[in-house]
Parts: sequence; structure tokens; C-alpha cells
Amino acid sequence: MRCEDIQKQFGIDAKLSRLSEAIKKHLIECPTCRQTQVLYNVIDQELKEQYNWQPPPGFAERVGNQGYALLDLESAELRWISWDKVNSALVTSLPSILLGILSAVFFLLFLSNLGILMTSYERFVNSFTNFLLANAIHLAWTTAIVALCFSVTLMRRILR
Amino acid sequence: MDNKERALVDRALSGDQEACTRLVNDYSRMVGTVIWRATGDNHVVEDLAQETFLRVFKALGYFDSRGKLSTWIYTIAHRVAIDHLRKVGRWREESIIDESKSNMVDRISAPESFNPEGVLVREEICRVVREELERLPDTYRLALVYTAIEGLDYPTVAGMLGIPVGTLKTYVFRGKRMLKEKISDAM
Repeated sequence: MRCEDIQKQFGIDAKLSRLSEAIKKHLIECPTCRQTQVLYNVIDQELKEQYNWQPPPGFAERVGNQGYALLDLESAELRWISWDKVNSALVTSLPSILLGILSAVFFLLFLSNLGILMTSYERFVNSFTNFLLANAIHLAWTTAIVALCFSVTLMRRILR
Repeated sequence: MDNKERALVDRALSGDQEACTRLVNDYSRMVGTVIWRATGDNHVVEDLAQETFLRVFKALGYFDSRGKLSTWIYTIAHRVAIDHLRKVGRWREESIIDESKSNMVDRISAPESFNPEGVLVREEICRVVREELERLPDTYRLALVYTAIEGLDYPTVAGMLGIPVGTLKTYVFRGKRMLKEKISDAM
């Protein structure tokens, strides 16, 4: 490694204990880099020893109370319906929603065929079977999605 | 944001006054230190720290919970400090780096008799560092003073300054190289 590259490395952190073995070895051999490292270390120390602020007594209470008065609680309410929360709620409740939709469709079909059911049980079964056959692909997909969602929910609960 | 930070923000947003005080208490020392180091003026720290927290509370409802609360608060502190520096006409963002000179600086070796470990020389170096630090362009000065604060790591400072970590490291290195040049001139 060139002196410039090495100086850049300890220019970021000049503490000797944090330098790699290759750099330490170079420092033993190169007086220029060694002097630069010592200089950077002194700069680091001086920068670290600069002032740290201590809040005066009562600062937190005073500013906390002022801040409380400024809190935008309306936006805080909006925060509760942030995308993250909506997303997570949707994922969690998706199986129930899908099951609900499926039940509703089934119930609707049942009700719409209630007249036929009353007059002829056989006609209703035939009609329903025809419907199932005609929509077999859609129903298969729906069932698969519902099953998958249930699996995801169960897995999430197990992993929690 | 970790669970502790999330709980604190949620408590504050649900109207818990004690959580607001706790939030100020937890971050005020670092906020004040960031402002003091950025402005170098002890007399304005308390007012600017207060302004920082008032901005924090005003915007707390919009805080993106995917981020780190501490980084967000320190970023606001940094901006308040910059606003103050601009207001008093002390903001010097422009680079004064002359690359040809900077490369030359790297080739300057300290004199053989120069021994930085000596107490007097060390004191002199510290004096030069303090003086010259104030004259550095703010981009480099802030990179140097923020990364020297105990408890602020490189990713946090990079987040505060809105730059990649690699760029921050370059600023730190260039800042130190400028100080080294000034020290070499002074010795």
C-alpha cells in the first residue's frame, strides 16, 4: 500500500489499537507516516476533548411541557392508519376477509337457488353442480389462495 | 426504530406528558453537544436545543417509524444549528480545497526535530487545532466535530448530514489533512 492510502486509513481513525497489522508494520518502517499518525492521533484527542453540553436543571420538564402543548395529535391519529399498519392489518386479516367473501358468495348462490330448492331438490343440486363445474378454475384458485393465507397466518403465529 | 423508542414515541403521541419530558431528557445532552460543537457558541446552545425539541414535537406525528429516532432528532439539531450559523453569517459551506495543494500537503513530512509527543508541542498543536478548526469550511469542520462526539457513529453522522458514509469518511480525512497542513505551517 502507498503512504497516501495508509494515511487515509488512519486519517479516519488514528487510534493505533484499531489499525490493521499491515498498517502497523508500515508505521514501524515509515517515519513520515508514523509522524502523521501521531499528529492525527493528537488531533483526534483534541476533537474528542471538546465541549459536551449538560442541560440545566429543569430543562427536560420545561421543554417537555412546551413540546406537549405543540404535539400535533391529529397527525398522531393519522399515524395510526399509516401504510405500515394498514398493510400489516390487511395481511393478518386477509384469510378471514377471503373466507368471508367465499361464504357470502356461497350464501348468495344458496339464496338465489332457494326457489328451486323448494320445488325440486334434484334440480337445485344439478344447477349447483353445473355452476361449480363452470367456475371450477376460479373456485380452485380461490380455495388455494384461502389455504395459502391460512398457512401464512399459522406460520406467523408460530414464529411470533 | 427499536421497541423502546417506538414505545416512547407512541406514549408521547397518545398524549402522555411524562413521555414528552422523558424524550427531552433522553436526547437533550447529545442535542446540546451537537449544537455546541456546530456553532462553537455556548450562549446559544440552550435556546437552540429548545428550538430543536419544539420542532421535534411539532413533527413527531409525521416521524417515519422505519428510521431511527435518535438520528432524526440529531438531524433536526444539526439543521437548527446550520440555520443559526446562516442567520449570523457564519456559514461557510464552499470548499476551499485546492486539490493540487492538498496532494502536496500529503508529501510534506514533519520536520525531524518535530516531536508531537512532547508536552509543549502537543499544547501548541491543540491550540492550532482549536483555532484552525473554526476556519475550516463547515462541510469538513462539521464532519470532524460530529464524528468526534462520543456516542455518534459514522452511519448516524452520515444520516444527519444527508451524505453516504464513504463521503463522510472522505470529509473527515480531508478535514484532518487541512489541519495537519496548518499545524505543519505553524510549527
